Amino acid sequence: MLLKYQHLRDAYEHVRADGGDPFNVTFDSVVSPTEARLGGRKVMLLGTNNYLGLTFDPSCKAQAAAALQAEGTGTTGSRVANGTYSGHVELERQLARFLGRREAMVFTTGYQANVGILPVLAGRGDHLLLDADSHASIYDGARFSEASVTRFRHNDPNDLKRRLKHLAELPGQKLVVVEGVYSMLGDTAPLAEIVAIKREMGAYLLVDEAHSLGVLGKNGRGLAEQAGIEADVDFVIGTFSKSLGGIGGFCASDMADFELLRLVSRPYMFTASLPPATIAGVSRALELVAAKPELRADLWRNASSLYHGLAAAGLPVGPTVSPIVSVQVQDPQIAVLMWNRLLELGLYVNLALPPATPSGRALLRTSVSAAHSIGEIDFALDTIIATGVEFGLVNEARHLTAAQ
Amino acid sequence: MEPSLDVQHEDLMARVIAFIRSMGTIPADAADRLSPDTNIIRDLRLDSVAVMEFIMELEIEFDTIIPLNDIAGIATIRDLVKVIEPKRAPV
Repeated sequence: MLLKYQHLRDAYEHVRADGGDPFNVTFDSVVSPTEARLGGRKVMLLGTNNYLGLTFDPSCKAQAAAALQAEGTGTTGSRVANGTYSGHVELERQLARFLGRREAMVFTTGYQANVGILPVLAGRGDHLLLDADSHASIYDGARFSEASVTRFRHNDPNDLKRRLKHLAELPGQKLVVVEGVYSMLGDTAPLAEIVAIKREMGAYLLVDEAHSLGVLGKNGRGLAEQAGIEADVDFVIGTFSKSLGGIGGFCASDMADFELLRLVSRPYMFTASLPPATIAGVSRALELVAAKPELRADLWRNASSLYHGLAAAGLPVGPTVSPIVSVQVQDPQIAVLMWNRLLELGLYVNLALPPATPSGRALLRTSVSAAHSIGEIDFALDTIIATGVEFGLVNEARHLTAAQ
Repeated sequence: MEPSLDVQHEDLMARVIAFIRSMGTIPADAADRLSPDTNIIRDLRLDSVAVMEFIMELEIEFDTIIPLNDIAGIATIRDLVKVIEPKRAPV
């Protein structure tokens, strides 16, 4: 039965041969947004998407604990059966208010939000146009859809327009899907140009703000707020498991009859709803996104320090400053060795290997948190640069010059 | 006078094969032996992600779109040319 995966075993064993197992890291305990224990040793966390560090915020924990005590550990049912509590509905209203939308719909994970929404927005005879670097949940949502699916070159508005022109004479609605911040390199979508094309060609636009909610925009509403084009976004997707420190996902919209999607979205209907503690913690986290803009300021200070520090040392980072800072490594084998060495030195980052990466490069992917201290960012910089020197990614002389 | 549809088809086949040969991502031994019957995944040794990139390059070069839904039905270069060429008018 599993013989078809034999080729994976060889590749997996190859990756594990250098020490740790990048795809099965088991923390003894996570003790703060920036620190864990692994194999009995302290490690600094620099790859957890915990952008605002809210997983350990005292008020989020207290509100979650109170809901746990009052309402129990789980809902044991779907939103369309016994799994809708007042907390779910209130969180949906809170999200809609926060985003300035008429309506929001909460899903049990961010993955399910895309898998639950794309197939019901675009059905048979319609057309989905996905950015080529879209997250797996967007691709999987497209696979569940009966729409015709085409992918345009990553962040290339001209290729998007070319494709929409080909589809212009065909019947059916056209839905363009992009992300606010792309998870591997931290680059953002050229939303203003995409919106101009969407308007010209009569398409709809969905923006997945998974990595940008709470991170971008004056009020933390994401890339659409930062780009000043929120009115042109027809559907906003987001997740609770990054800046909001919980788990879950949502879709928000101004469209009439949006609430009818609750009756047709199978990933919404046929899964248990979020437990009350998660709903309560996320609700508090969303309040903090609005109430504490200093969290975003700290996040961007850290992101900028890490990005510019690595770039100045000569390490190949992504195209733009972002809370996601990835070091590109040509040779996947070297990337695995570097990932192991960083862990030995007390720094946890993500390892991303082709084919899950853009352009077939291996990545040492880091994500910065508002909770990182300046000292922690300095430690991360020193450790990554020293490892880059050791493995020949950084010219030592250039590193010393940059340090001076 | 317009060339016949068969001539257009042969011309497109030759252009597709020439373009695939020029891509640089195709193994040299496979590039030397391209024909309408070449199997894209097996003979060009492309993994699932490389196939998507391969298709995108062809879409842009030949100014067309090949929906992901149609890719499963494309095995050979002949299948690929059928998807790329303008639909023939019904006889």
